[in-house]
Parts: sequence; C-alpha cells; structure tokens
Amino acid sequence: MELTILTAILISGLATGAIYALAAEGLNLIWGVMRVVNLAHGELMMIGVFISFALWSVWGINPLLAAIPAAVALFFVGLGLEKLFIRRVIGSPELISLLLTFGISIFITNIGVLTLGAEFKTIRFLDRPVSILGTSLPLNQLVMAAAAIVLSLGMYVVLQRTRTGTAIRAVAIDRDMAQQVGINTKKIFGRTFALGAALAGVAGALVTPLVAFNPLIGQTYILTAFAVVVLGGMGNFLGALIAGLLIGVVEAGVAYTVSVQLSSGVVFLVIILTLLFRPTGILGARE
Amino acid sequence: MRRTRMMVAAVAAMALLAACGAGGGSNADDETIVFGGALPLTGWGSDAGQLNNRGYELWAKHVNEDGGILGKKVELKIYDDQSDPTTTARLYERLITQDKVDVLLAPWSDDMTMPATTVAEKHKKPMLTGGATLTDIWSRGYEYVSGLLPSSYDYVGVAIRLLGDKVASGAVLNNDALYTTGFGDAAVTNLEEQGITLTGREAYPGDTQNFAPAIAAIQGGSPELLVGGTGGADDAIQIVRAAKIAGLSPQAMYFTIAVVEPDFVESLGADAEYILGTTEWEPSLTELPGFDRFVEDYEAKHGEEPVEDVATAYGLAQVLQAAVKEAGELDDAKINTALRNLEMTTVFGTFKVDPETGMQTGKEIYVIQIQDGKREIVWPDSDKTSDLRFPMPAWSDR
Repeated sequence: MELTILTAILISGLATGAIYALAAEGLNLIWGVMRVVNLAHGELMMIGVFISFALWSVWGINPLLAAIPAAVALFFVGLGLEKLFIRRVIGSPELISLLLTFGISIFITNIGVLTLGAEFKTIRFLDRPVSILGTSLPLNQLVMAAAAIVLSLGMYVVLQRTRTGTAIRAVAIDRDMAQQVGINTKKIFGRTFALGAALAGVAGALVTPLVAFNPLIGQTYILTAFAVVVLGGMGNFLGALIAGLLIGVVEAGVAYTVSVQLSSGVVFLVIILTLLFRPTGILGARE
Repeated sequence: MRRTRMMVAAVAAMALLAACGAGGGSNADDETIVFGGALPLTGWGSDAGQLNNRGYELWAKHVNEDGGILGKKVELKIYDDQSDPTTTARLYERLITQDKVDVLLAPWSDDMTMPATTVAEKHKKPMLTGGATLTDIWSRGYEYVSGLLPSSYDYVGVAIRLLGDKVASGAVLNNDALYTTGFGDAAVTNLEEQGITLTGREAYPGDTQNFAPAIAAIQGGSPELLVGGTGGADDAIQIVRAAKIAGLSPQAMYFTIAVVEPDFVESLGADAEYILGTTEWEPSLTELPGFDRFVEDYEAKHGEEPVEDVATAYGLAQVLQAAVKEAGELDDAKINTALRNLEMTTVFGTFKVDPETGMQTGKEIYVIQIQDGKREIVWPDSDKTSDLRFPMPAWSDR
C-alpha cells in the first residue's frame, strides 16, 4: 500500500472518527446512567447543527464558537425533555424508552422538515487544503476533529473529577446505593440527560462545515453512534472515544482500499461482530 | 310480455355494467373528472413533492376557471406517499381500484415512479411520468407508461456529446440512489459512444460524510472529464470541495441536477466556475403558451417565482388534459393512444414521446455552464447565451 493512502486512511479516519465519538458519547452517557436508549439523540444533534448554521448565516459566528451556545441551548432542551417525558420511563423496560425516544425523534425531525425544509445546506469555514505527509486534507476537518477530541477528554475529566461527575458515575454503578448515600438521583438523571443532549449539540455544531445537512441529518449519525457505543462498551465513556476513532479509521480503510459504497456497511459489521464475539465491547460494558 | 320487459331490463343493466367497466371512469359523480396521484408531501422528497402539488393545484384552478374538461369540473385527489416507494405503490393501487380516479397524476422521483408505473401498467391505466428520468422506466415494454422528461441517457448525453471531441478520458462518480445510478449508467454509455475512455467509476452512498476516498478512487486515472451523477447541489458541492482539496483538476466537470440549484453557486463561489450541467426548463428562451398566467397566479398565491418542479407538474397535467380532450371521453385506451401520439407545448416546454416506448423524445435539453457566477446556456447553438469555456484551468492556476 502506498504511504500516502495509508496516511490518508489514518488521518482522515481519525478525523471522522473523532466526530463519531463525540456524537456517541452523549448517547452512551444517557444509557450508562439512566438505562434509556435515546433514539432522539441524532435529532438533538440536528438542532445543534441548525443553531450553528443560524449563527453562521446571521452573524457569521464560526462553528467552533457556535458550539458553546449550541451546548447551552441543548442542555436546556435536554433538561426540558427529561422533565416532561424521559423521567416517566426511567426504570421501565427498555422497549418503553425506546418507543418514547423514537416518537420524540420523529416529532423533532418533522418539525425540522416543516419549518426548515428538506433541502440541504452547507457552510464554508476553513475550507482549504493542508498537506500532511503527502496527503491533502481539508483544514476544517482537522480543526473540528481536534476540537472533538479535546471536548471528549474534557468531558471525561468532568466525569472523573467533579462532584456532579462523581455523582453521575455513582448513579451509573448502583442507583439504589447512590440514593442511600444521599445523592439526589432524580436531579442526576436530569443533569445527565441534559449533558448528553449538550454533547449532541456540540457534535452538531462541529459537523456543520464538514457536511451538507438538512433536518434529516440525525438519522445518518444515530446508527454510527450506536455502533460506537456497542464497540466501546455500553456506558463506557472512554470506550466510546476509542471506538469512535477506530470505526472512523476502519471506514476510511474500506473506503480507500475496497469501495466507498461498502464503507457505509462497516458500522453494521462492527455491531454484529462485537455482539457475537465481545458483547461487552473493547473496554467492557458497565454493568 | 312481462318476460320481454325483464329481458330488456337485464340487457340494459348488463350494458350499463359493461360501460362502467370499459370506461374506466366509473367515478360515481358524473359532473367531475377526478385526477389522482401520490406525492412525497412529507419525508426526504417533501420539498419537491410540495412543489409538484402546487403545480397540480394551480393547473386544476385554471382548468376549472376555463370551464373544465369535456364540460366537467376537475377535482384533484393527492395522497402523501411519505417518500416511501412501497407506500406509493399501495396508494396507486388504491387510487385505481378503490377510488377509481379517472386520470392518474404522476408521482415524484424515479424511486417512487418505478413501482407506480408497474401498478398502472398492471391495471392498464395510462400514466404520464413527471419527475423521473431513469431509462428503465420506458425500456420494460410497458404500453401504458409515457414520460414527460427526457430519459437520463439524453439528459446526461447532451453534455457528454458536446465534449465528445474535446476530452479523451472521463471518470464517473455517482450517488448510489436509483435515479443517480441511472445517471451514472447513462454517462458510461455516452462516454463509450463518444469514444471517451472510462478511467474509473465509483458509487458513493447518499449519506457519505467524507468524499476524499471517492475522489482518491478516480484520481489515479487522471480523467480529463469528471461526470458527477449527483442528486442535488449538496453532494456536488462536497465533491467539488474534495476535488479541490485533493488537487483533482480535470479539463471539464459536469454534474446532474445540482448546477441548476441556486445553492450550488452560492456555496461554491468562484469554485463553481466552468462547471457544466443540464437543464430542461429555461422559460426565458421560448414563447410558452399560458406561461404568463402560470407565473403571475403562482406568484400571487405563493409569493415566489415558480421553479422547475412546479412547471413539471403543471405541464404534465396540461398534457393529460389535452389527451383526455383528444380522446373525447374517459376511456383509458383512448387516452393512452392520445398520450403516445400528442405533440404539444406546455408551460414546461415541448412534448412528444416515442409512440412505441413512451419515452420522451421531443423535449429540449440545454447544456449550461457557470460563468462569472451565472448560469449561461452553451448548447444548443440556437439558444446559447454564451460560448463554452474550455478547458477548466487547474485549481492551482485559479
């Protein structure tokens, strides 16, 4: 294999993978703590995309900065959703939360299509080539990927070092025990869902310069996000980061060496193989 | 005597039944002609679906203002197929067998038209297809299917034929959706016919987020022409950006559909220069009958200019209207014969199909090129607004 192809696979794969990881981390967090499969995660990301797009079109605010208001807005959207709907199904069988969030996702998507239209939009930000080891890559992809990795690690530190983070982890490990030692689990659920939503919003803001998007964009990310969660280990935050990067690289590898068309099947293969041979994921699931 | 009367009554009843069966137009209400169809009013095709619906509605309003068809008022029955081809098939089945509509209106897009035409053919109900170009629609030997749009073979072909003696090699990159694969296949056929060497062909999934690998796949062959079988400006914009990043500089680039969308130039800016496309609707060029009324009433109702999708639906219904008039009655076989033999001009342009296959052969197609931020017509010579700019300079020289 030529060296340039190899570097292209690695760098371009890591760059796409970083975004996959960020998109999956919120989903993973919500699952790990609340045992809720949030099928509306992609739609929360879509809201982030359009917040970033609106800020860019109206005030020329770049997507890196737009990630902050997107995170704040989605945090409150998440808080609201949890209070109104999600709270009622925590502890119910998974199918119930699956159906609920599926309904929410359809609702948000269609509101999006009705108000914003289904035509695709793009923005131009840092749209110039950078040459790394003979491979030409768009600068925006590298910048957004770097931001995604920094944010992922930042989130990891928040979960490990802060009081709320510790409380969130405690609830994830043992809900009843956490409650007995005085943690307000209801409050933690609300914050967890809001944080997960904020992560989706940030991921959404960061992808705006990289892809063409419309209100259906959430659907293209949700499946990959699931594959990342499964491969990384359900509920394992660091696992999601590593799995995201890995899936990005494998996808790029297939795209560059086998076929672009087949590369989109990689996520399915990852889900199937992981569930068959290592159902707990590479870093092990939280039980 | 009594027996005779009963016989007469029985014969009359049978004749009546037969008339209903043969006529196809067994719509209970004799005062109206029902035109029915399914459009993607929601889902991924909803933008185009809504525009087509507006076209049909405006046409119905105009027809009724003018006294209807065959002295009867026109009524529309449009269902939402939710952009799902299976639903489209089910809805056409329903329109034909349960609702018993008099005339079928077209669905939108190749994905939905393929199953819908199969249903129409099965029931021997004439269908004039609208937003669909896949050559397969008319190559299956169907007798009741005719097309308003030219096939993808000609749509892509006019551009490749224009470049036939200018480039020696070409590569094809297409979205793997049904209709864009049709564009890709049509491009390969046309390249072969023009003696242009095919250096590579790659399909990419509709949700592709990173076009660098697709560009890398065809870059090795150093094609002089890049044909993009794109479904809209979104993928074309990303292909151009990825080509620029990778330094892929063919002498000409052509994209299906994308280039007519305002987004294409807006998003790419100067990078859109030299890029070629095709269009079927350039109203400014020809004197189209009824065009002013179409535009004025549309703008009055919707507050914006009509776009191609609206004109397609309106023009399609105009052809159906002419076919019913030509048939003189609501007889499916007669309407079908009329559709296959009509020659006319609508607000969408000229109409004439091949009487054997139903494939559109009379519609003008124009090759356009982005020049100084504007779409200019570079072919055919009789209509051109500017000369073709060729070759496209390398990215590094721009």
